[in-house]
Amino acid sequence: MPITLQGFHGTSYRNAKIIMHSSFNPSYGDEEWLGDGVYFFTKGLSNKPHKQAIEWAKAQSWCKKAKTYLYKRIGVIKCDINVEEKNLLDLTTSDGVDLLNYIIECHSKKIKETGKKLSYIDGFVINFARSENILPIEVVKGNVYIKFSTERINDIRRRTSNCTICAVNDPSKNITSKSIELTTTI
Amino acid sequence: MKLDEATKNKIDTYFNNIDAEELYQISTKKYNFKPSSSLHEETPNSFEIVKVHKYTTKTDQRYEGITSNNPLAIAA
Repeated sequence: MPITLQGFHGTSYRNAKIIMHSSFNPSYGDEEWLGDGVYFFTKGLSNKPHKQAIEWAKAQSWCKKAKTYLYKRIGVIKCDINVEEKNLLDLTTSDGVDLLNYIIECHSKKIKETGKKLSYIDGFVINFARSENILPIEVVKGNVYIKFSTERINDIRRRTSNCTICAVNDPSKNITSKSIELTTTI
Repeated sequence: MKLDEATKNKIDTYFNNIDAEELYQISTKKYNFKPSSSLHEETPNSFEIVKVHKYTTKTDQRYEGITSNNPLAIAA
């Protein structure tokens, strides 16, 4: 059964225009929250994912070292993300969590035979399950805690998730429409 | 997607067929899994009582003659 998610990607306006004329550049490796892919804010814990996308772009613009904004004009790209239910790993549901837990359980049980131990980070486990053809994951959806500007300035380190995001592994396959939804200036 | 029978079988088949050391190597080299630095040992499923010491408090004079049925017990 096909599912359509509406995702909002916040970035610099310059970058947003480049994406509109060419394509998204997925994030790879480095403990990405939900594995490799292009990230979007989506409706879930918040009814205003487009605003969260703005806040994200704003927070990412601030350069702590230089104490200046890298860019002042922000663009938010709105996308339709289409995915079959069998290719969506939804970690906002018990089905999705059970699935990820089972993979980690089997993996750690096997690794125990070596006498060694590994630590488990969701993004790495998702990449592993996908690339080893264990699960046909095209899109991952999950609830996370993201530090926007206020949280970074005030060092607010909560455990409570404040965003629902999704990671699209292959944008050319699952993103069926994109448009610059809004622009704003810091 | 959910953990139905077919998916569970696919997962089980993968882990049954892969060698443990090979899994460790591809997990760390290809997928960036890091060795655990946790010192926490697995919690045991049961606990063995080794020794029990029983202590009683010095009774207040007002309560002399009353036998205490609840001595303070400390399990060691």
